[in-house]
Amino acid sequence: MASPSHTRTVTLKSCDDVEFVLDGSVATLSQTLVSAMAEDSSSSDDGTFTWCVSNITGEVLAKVVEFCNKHADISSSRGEDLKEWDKAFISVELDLLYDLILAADNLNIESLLDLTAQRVADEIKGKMPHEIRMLFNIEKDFTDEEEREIRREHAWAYGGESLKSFL
Amino acid sequence: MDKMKDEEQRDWSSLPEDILYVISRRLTLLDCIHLSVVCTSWHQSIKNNNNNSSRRKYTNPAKQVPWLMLPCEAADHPHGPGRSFFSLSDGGKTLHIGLPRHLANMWCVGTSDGWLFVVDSHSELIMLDPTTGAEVALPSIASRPTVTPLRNKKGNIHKYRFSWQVDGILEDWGLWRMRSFYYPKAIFCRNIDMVATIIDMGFRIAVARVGDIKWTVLETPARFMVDDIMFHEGWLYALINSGYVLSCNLLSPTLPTCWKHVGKQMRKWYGLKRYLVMSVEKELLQVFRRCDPTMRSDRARMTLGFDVFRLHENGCDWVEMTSLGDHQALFLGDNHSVSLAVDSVHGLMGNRVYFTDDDEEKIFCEPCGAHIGVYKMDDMTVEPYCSFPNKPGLSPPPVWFMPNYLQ
Repeated sequence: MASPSHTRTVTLKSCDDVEFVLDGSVATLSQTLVSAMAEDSSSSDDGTFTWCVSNITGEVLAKVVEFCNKHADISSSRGEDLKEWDKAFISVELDLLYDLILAADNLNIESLLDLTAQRVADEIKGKMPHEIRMLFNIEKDFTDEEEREIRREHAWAYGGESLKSFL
Repeated sequence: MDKMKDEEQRDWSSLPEDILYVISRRLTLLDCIHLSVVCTSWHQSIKNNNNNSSRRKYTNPAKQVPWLMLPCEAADHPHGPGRSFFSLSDGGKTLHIGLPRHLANMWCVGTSDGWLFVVDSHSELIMLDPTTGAEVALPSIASRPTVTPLRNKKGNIHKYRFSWQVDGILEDWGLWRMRSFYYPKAIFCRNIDMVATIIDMGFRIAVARVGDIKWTVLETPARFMVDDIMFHEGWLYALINSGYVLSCNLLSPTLPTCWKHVGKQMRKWYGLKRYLVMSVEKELLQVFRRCDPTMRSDRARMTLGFDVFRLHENGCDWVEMTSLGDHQALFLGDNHSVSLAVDSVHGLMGNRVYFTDDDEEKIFCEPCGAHIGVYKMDDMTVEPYCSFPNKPGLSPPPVWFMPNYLQ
């Protein structure tokens, strides 16, 4: 029998064995869970469904669950209030942001992916390549010659500043 | 320090391609270019993403506000002669882009899908992507049997002989005149790789697929004069002087000769500049620019406002719109008109018409630049365009240009 997912409860288990119990309607925000529940017939009778997320820690999963609970709650999911809530929610350190964006991708939660991607975009906006590297602690792994070649494709995009100052 | 050691380092350079794509779609072209040179894996991801057309489904409302293309102020710029582009979505930066030397004095007659349509010094129409320098040649003007290039003693083309009027009288036009007036507007349709241009000062429309060696002149009704043209899903729309909108289907391999009327005739247009635009909701819009002819001396205030009409679902009536909605803005100009879903993050406001110069100046050969502004539909007032330094005397006239994302 097809399982009406919103009538079930879902238990999410993190990689460090922290468990979260979600209402079925909250779990539907995750396309990954929706597909998993649709495929699963074993537990349709007792109405519970357990899903292990092998690469998400309890700390990160707690944030994800908080997000889903808020967004599934129709009474609060309106306009400006929710926007403000999202803004406060996503004001996190870059490390946690990194974990959240991967979790959003992994669980396929579109609204969380939107929010986290926008936050990363906001960080990048207006920065030069060397500033972006510094921000995310990324090493430049181009040779100078390679970078010069790539920059030549859009020479205008680096303003009047010479290549040397970015190397 | 100990805490730092405990925590695993997040490796941002290994972000999955999909995620990087979602991020890049929230950036302007300029930021996206900066993103793509951070490291080799990001560079590769951005390249792969842009080659993967199935990803297009993620595309959100545009994060890129059209650039305003301006004449180049610094002829001795280190990137060589070129044009300046005022970019609102990059914090009001003015970008200088060098142009190929043979196009340094080009005249722009249209912008669409990330391409500029420019007329070079020999009056030939060329497609140019200024962000990459890519050029696409289009059929020569001399491929039209009715146009004959005239050469001077040195063998260089210096005039064209042609007739554009019904009486068939031949005229000789110099290169500058041809460049400025022969093609009032050119547009591109990416889906069918087709270019359409108004020619003969508005009396005819010619089309060509990229790679064609000849223009095909579409058969048109008698006393036909085109004010504006637009592509939408393989259909060409033309706004003509009788107050009708006509359309024809260019999807079929054999080019059509049959135009059909779209909506009723509009009689209210005399003396007004008109534009065709497809709204965000895919409704056909006709927009009229109201100018005050008594205020020519105070040119900054010449544009009084815009009247926007949408084609009713019955396909017949034009309904005046009092609002564009809070999530839609129009960008209007002689060479480029487009509707955008507005994202307030980037400084754009909904229910506004962002406008640049009319073509009137071109006809009178006066310097332009005082016609740039924003019309607010709600209180029907005109205000300056953000921080853009609104000064008269810009030639060639500024035009909107929507850059393409990395190819």
